[in-house]
Parts: sequence; C-alpha cells; structure tokens
Amino acid sequence: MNTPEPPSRPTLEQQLMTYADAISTSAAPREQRSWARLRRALRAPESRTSRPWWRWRLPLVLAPVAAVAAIAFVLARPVEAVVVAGQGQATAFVNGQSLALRVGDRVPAGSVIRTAPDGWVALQIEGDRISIDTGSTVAIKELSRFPRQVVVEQQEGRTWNVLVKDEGRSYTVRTASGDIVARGTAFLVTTLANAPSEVAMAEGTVQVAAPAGSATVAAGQRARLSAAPPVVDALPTQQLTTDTTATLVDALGRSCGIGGNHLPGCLATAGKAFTVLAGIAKDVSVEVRLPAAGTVGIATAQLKQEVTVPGEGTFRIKLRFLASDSALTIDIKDTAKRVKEAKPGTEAARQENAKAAEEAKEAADKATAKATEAATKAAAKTAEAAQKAQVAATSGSDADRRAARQAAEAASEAAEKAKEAADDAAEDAKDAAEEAREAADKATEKGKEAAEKAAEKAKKEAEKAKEAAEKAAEKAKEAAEKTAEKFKDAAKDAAKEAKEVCEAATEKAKEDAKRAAELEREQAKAAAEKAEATAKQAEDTAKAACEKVADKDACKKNAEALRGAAEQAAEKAKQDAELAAEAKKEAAERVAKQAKEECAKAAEKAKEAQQSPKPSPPPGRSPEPSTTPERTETPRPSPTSSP
Amino acid sequence: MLQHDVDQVFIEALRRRDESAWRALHDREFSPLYRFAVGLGASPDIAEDCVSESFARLLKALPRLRFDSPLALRGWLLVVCRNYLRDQLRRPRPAELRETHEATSDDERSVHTRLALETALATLPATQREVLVLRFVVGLPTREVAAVSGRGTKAVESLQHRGLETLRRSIALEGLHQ
Repeated sequence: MNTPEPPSRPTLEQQLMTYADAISTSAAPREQRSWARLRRALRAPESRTSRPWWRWRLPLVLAPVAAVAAIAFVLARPVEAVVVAGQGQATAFVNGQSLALRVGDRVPAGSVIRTAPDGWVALQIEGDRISIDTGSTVAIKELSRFPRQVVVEQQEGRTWNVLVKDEGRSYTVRTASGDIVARGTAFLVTTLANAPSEVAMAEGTVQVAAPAGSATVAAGQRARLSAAPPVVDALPTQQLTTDTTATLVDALGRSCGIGGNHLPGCLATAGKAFTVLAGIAKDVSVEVRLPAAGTVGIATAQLKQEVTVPGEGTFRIKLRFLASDSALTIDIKDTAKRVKEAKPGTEAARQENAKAAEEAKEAADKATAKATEAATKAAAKTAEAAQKAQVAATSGSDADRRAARQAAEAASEAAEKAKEAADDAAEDAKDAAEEAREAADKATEKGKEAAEKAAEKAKKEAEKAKEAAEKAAEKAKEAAEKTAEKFKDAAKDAAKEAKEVCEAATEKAKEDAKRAAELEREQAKAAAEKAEATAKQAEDTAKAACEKVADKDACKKNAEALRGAAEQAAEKAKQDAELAAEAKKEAAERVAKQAKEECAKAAEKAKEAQQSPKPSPPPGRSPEPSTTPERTETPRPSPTSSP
Repeated sequence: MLQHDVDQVFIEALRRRDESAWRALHDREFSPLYRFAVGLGASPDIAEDCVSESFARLLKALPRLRFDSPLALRGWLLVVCRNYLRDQLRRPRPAELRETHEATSDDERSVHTRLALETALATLPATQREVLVLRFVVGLPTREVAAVSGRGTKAVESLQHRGLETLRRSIALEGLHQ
C-alpha cells in the first residue's frame, strides 16, 4: 500500500518570494498614500533646482559685464566730501537740515559747513584735503566728476587746502573779494569780515582772479584780493627739519606730518621736513616717539637745537613763532614734555618712571623756588613803588602829583605782575606735581611708592608756593591799596589847599582891582582939580593981561570963555577918568570871576584825582583771560591779525 | 516603434511631469521599492517614507539625468532608497514595536515562516542581505542586482550563495529552538 507523499517543503527561495508577496499585499494602502504625495509634488510649481548649461556659463559671461558696470558705477556716483578728521563742534547744513559732523560722514555738494570757535574739521574730496579752521563758514558749491571740478565758497574764516597734483581737475575757492583757482598745490585762504581776502602759498602756484585784475601767486608769496588789482608780496615762511620722524601738533589736535596735513599753515614735505607759513597757530609742538632716551635735533634756517629726551615714550617740544612782515622766526624750547608713557613692566620703563618722578620733583622744587623769588621781588618792588607814591603824593605840586599817580599805577602793575608771576610759578609747580603723579601712576610698585611720595611732596611744595604767592599777592594788594589811600588823602588835602589858595587869590585880585580903580579915580580927580586950578590961573593971567589992553570987556569975555573951555576939558577928563576906573574895575572883576572859575575847575580835578588810582584786584584768577602768549588758554589768535 | 524609442518617449513624458506617466511608474515601482525597504529591515512607515523620498528625488533630478530605459530608473530608485535607509537606520530612534504585516488571511504557519525569515535576514551580513533581498524579495535578475549593489555578477552570485547558506542555517537553528 502506497502512503501518500508528504507535501514538499518549499525551498528557501520560494519562502523568500512568498515573504515578498506578503509584504506587497500589506503595502496596498501605503501605495495610495505614496502616490498622493507624489502627485502633490508633481502639481506643485516646478522648483528651479536644475541648472541648465547656460546657468553654469552665465557667471563667465556676466563677469566682464559686471566689471564694466562696477567701473561705470564708480565713475557715475557723485563726488562727496568725506570728513576725515575734526575736533569740537562742526555743523553741516544740508537741504535745510543741520548735522553735527563726525569722522566718516559724507557731505554732498550744496552743503554749508560752519565750525564753532573751538571746532575744526578736515574733509577729503577724492585726493584733495581741505581743513576748515575754527570759526569758519564754507559752502561746498560744486563737486563734479565730469568735468572734474571742485568749487568751494569761503564765506568767513580760514581754510587750508592741500591738493594732489592733477592737471585735469579744477579746484576753486571763491571769496567775496575774488576767486583762487588751483590744480595741485597747498595754500591758505583767509577771509575776514570787512577785510580783503588773502591767499598764502606753501607750494605750487594758484591763479587769483579779482574784479580789478588777476595775478599768479607762487610758493612763498601771498596775495590780497580787494577792489583794487591783487597785490602780491613775499610771505614769511620757514623750513623746519628734524633728525627723526616727527609730527607738528597744535592744542586743537591738528597734526602736520604722517597723520595728515590738517594744521593750517604747515605742510609736511616728508616725515622730517616741514614748510611753515606765517599765520600758523602759536601753540604748536613737535611730537616725537622714541624707543629709548636720546636727543632730537630740530633745525630752522637760523637755529639748530638739540633737545634731550629722557626715555622711551612720546614727547612734545614746544615751538614759538614770531612773525613780522618780512620774516618768520621759530623759537624752540629746550625741554621735551612727555605726553605718553613707555610701556610699563620693563626694567627700562621702571627706571624711566623713577627718573621721571625724580625730575618732576626737581621741577617742582625749582618752581617753588621761582615762585618764592618772584613773590619776594614783586613785594619789594611794590613796597618801593608805594613808598615813592607816598612821598610824591605829599609833596603837593602838580608834577609831584603826576609822579604820585604814576607811582601808584606802577605799584598796581607791579602787584599785577607779582600775581601773574606767582600764578605762573604755582601753575608750573602744579604741572610738575602732575607729571610726577602721572609718572607715579605708571611706575611699578616700588617705583610707584617713591614717585607717589615725590608727587605728594611736590604737591605740598606747590601748595606752599601757591600760598606764598598768594600771600605775596595779598601783600602787594595791601601795599597798593595803602598807596592808593595815601594818594587819595594827599590829593584831598591838595585839592582843599588849592581851593583855599584859589579863593585867596581871587579875593586878592578883587582887592587889587578895587584899589587900582580907587587910585585911578583919585588920580583922575587930582588931575581934574589940577586942570581946574591951571584953568583959573590961566584966567587970572588973562584978566591981568586984559587990564592992559583997550577993549577990556572983550578980553575978559575971551578969558572967561577960555576958562569955561578949560573947565569943560577938566570935567571931561574927570569923566574919562571915572569911566576908565569903572572899566578897570569891571576888568578886574572879570579876572576875579575867571580865577574863581579856574579854581572851581581845579577843585573838580582834584576831586577826580581823589578817585584814582583804583586799588588792584584781589589775588587769584583774573576774570578776563590773560594776554600773555605762553599762558593763553584760548585756541588761537586771529591768523591775520598782523598783516 | 522600437522598445528603445518607447522608453525614451516614456522618459520624456516623465521629464515633462506628465501625471499619467508618473502614475504608471509609481504603480510599477512602488511595490519593489517597498519590499526592498522592508527586506532591509525598515518598518512599514520608514519603508513608505523611503519610497516617497526616492520618487521625490527622482522628480527633482530627472531633468539632468540620462536614462536609457525605465529599468535603469528602477536601479536609480533602489540606490536612492538604500542610501536613504542607511541614513535612517543609522540614526538612533526610540524602540518601536515591529509591526506585523497584518496578513490576516495567512495561516499561522506562514506567519511563523515570515517571522523566522525576518529574524534570519536580520542576522545576515549587510552585503549578503542586500543581495538576497534584491534577488528574491524584489525579484531582480543577477545582472541588475550587480548594477544596483555596485559589484560584479560573480560577486553577486557568490554573495547570494553564501547568504542562502547562512539563512538556511539560521532558519534550521530557529526551527530546532522552536
């Protein structure tokens, strides 16, 4: 009997295929979902993911086009003035809006720039630089690339224009007096109210055009533009050279050198050579940075100065400019003041700091001594002047009184000078103490203590000096006040005395006139009586003579007539004498009256004299700024104040 | 019209985003792709995502690709799907229950067989597994398996042989355990 064969077991391959079928069967609903997703993707807008061939080559095609477009854009964009430096307040007025200028601002054509009395701004127009000085008003009229043209209207103040050499570009500065046209040069234009504009040349040439004519102005010359044809004359300039790379800087932070030519009247021709024009700011220093102690050589045409620099750091050496019509001389201070310390931490720096502290202490000591000496001298001088004034005031005569007044004024001046000297000395001592303190701040721990002690000592010394100076000034003031008081008393006495003398003189003149008139009258009376007697005698003589003649009656009549005539003559003489006496009396009275008036005037003058001189002001800072150039705190004097 | 021309017309229709052409492609290729994904160990959800992602990438890339035939398209889709799965399976994910393929009509034995196969496939080295899945689950001829896996035909045959041996041993061991 055959048993049925068991069903054949599926092979592994068949099992796998069955497995595949089972997966497919279970995937049916998922297939629908998958298709729905794909359909959405198909119906969605085609995304630009593919990059056809031309898109790969497009950059290559567009690159030169873009380059040309970029060049065209650069050429077509408007020329603008860019603020590259400045300090203080400078405002631009653009389209009726004002904008406080800062570095990096762009100023378009049509703008008006105004600087405050303590503000300045430097603009760059392509390669050209224009530095607008303090208290100036400048309008940027035109900035164009085709044709290349810059037109600046200077309404007031001063501009310093340093232009690159570019024959194709026209650069014009318009002023009320005329135009200055330049191509590549450096020049200073000054426009003051109610005064002719002036252009001063440091380099190159400019063409000036005024209504009455034009002229070419070359380097080292200046021209004044007015209603008359332009006047060109020599400009005092000076060449300054240094043996190390340096920068000229002024109190407003304007530099002339590697940092730029912003300082009006200074053109750096290299890092070590400078052309300086008359009219440059007075408070200019040479700034140098040295890696170690050494000397800095500064030379002008007349002078060569070696200035010792005590160590590493940045130092400033003060310059003083003395300008006349024909020459500009530069005075170089022989000390260098540190403005930036060397890097702290190194041994050299520590030594430097210690040395600086020592030097500062010495400077403070010196300043103290100087202040004391100045105060003593001033006090002595004041006392002497006061004594002189006292002597002169009590002597009484006009000349003496004048001398007294002068002496009082001299005393007042001396007191003022003493005060200034004391202030200066105190200031120097303060500076020295400040330097010492700065040095102390930078020093290492040990050096710092020493420097702080030195600074403290210097400060005390400075305070002492200040106190001494204040005392001296106080003494001087008291002396001046005493002198003034004495002079006042003396003048009062003198006035009183003058009044009395005047009144006495007037009285005397009156009396004299009266007496003279009386005498005149008596003399006239006597003369009249004498004339009457003479007439009577003549009548008698005539009558006696008539006795001898025949016609006696006629003769007597004649004699009587003669007598009458004599009497009339006598009467007339008497009347004349009376009149003359009266006239003399009147004249005497007039004289007396005039004398009285003179006396009144003299009394008035004496009264005025009593009120002068005024006592000197109290010590301390004067309310008005000092006019001493070294101590002037105001930025700069007017550049063209001296023609 | 030659077969080649027909294929090109079809591919051009795909490039034009012709919906009927894409529907035809999807109907033809969804199942092999899904099986491939599941055979490589993907869950049904990941397998579905894998297929959708493969079609989406083809839709994007088709304008710049050149295919001689729709079969070449399948190879491209399988490679994309494999790469997608590698990325997905490499990522750590929360443990998920392996979904049974709700084959309600299957009898208990077939379910056991399937589970035993899945378990045995999971023990295979990746290369052997890929070749076996492509060859027997997807149903590709050896030449196409070689093209998709980037190997020579001989290498594919060798991998297939070794894979089957390993699988057989695994299932036998599994049967012994049960």
